[in-house]
Amino acid sequence: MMPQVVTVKVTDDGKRFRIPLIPVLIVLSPILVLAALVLAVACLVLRINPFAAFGRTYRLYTALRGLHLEIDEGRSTVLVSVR
Amino acid sequence: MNEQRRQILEMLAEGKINADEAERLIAALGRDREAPPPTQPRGKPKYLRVVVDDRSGEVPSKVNVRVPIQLLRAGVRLATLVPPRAIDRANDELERAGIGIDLSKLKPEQIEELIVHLDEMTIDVEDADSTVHVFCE
Repeated sequence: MMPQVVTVKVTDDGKRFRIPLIPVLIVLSPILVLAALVLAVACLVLRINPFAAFGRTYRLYTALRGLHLEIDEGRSTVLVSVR
Repeated sequence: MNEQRRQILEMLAEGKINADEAERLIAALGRDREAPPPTQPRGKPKYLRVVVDDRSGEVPSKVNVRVPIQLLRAGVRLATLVPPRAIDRANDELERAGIGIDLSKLKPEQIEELIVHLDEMTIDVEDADSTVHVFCE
């Protein structure tokens, strides 16, 4: 299942930013299509199966769900959480 | 007296087996009963957790990392697509950084075996001011 929300907190005051990924992907979709074309050409030049490359990249993206990284030092916190 | 022991004694009484054989069979029954039940296979681990609690400095610090095992698997599968020339360059850079890992030998089948055994792995490092805990869940 695709990740839905990324939570990022890189502040001392405890504010969290929740980034909904699907709307972000929809907004960025024109750029993503162009990037996909460039990557497909790069794959062909490097003799890599572009379908396998896209499939495995998508798997890597979906596998990000559940990633949690939290570093606290005194009052400073860095938090990245993918759900 | 259970059914199996009764059957052995009946066979002894009927002369089908001798006393030594009966004794061996009864001893084998006892061993079976004492044997621990087979351990239930735990489900495959889903996450690799690293928890560090450091109170040695002026400011205490904590690290809490949870990496999906699926990410490890997906990363290795993606790495298999990397061209050999790029793998060689990456190996050179790793060796220069003092990390003796040959990426060309990293295969998805091996990572499956590694993941299965990761479930049994727990690393605990504790000293007076800090603790490091690495485990799978």
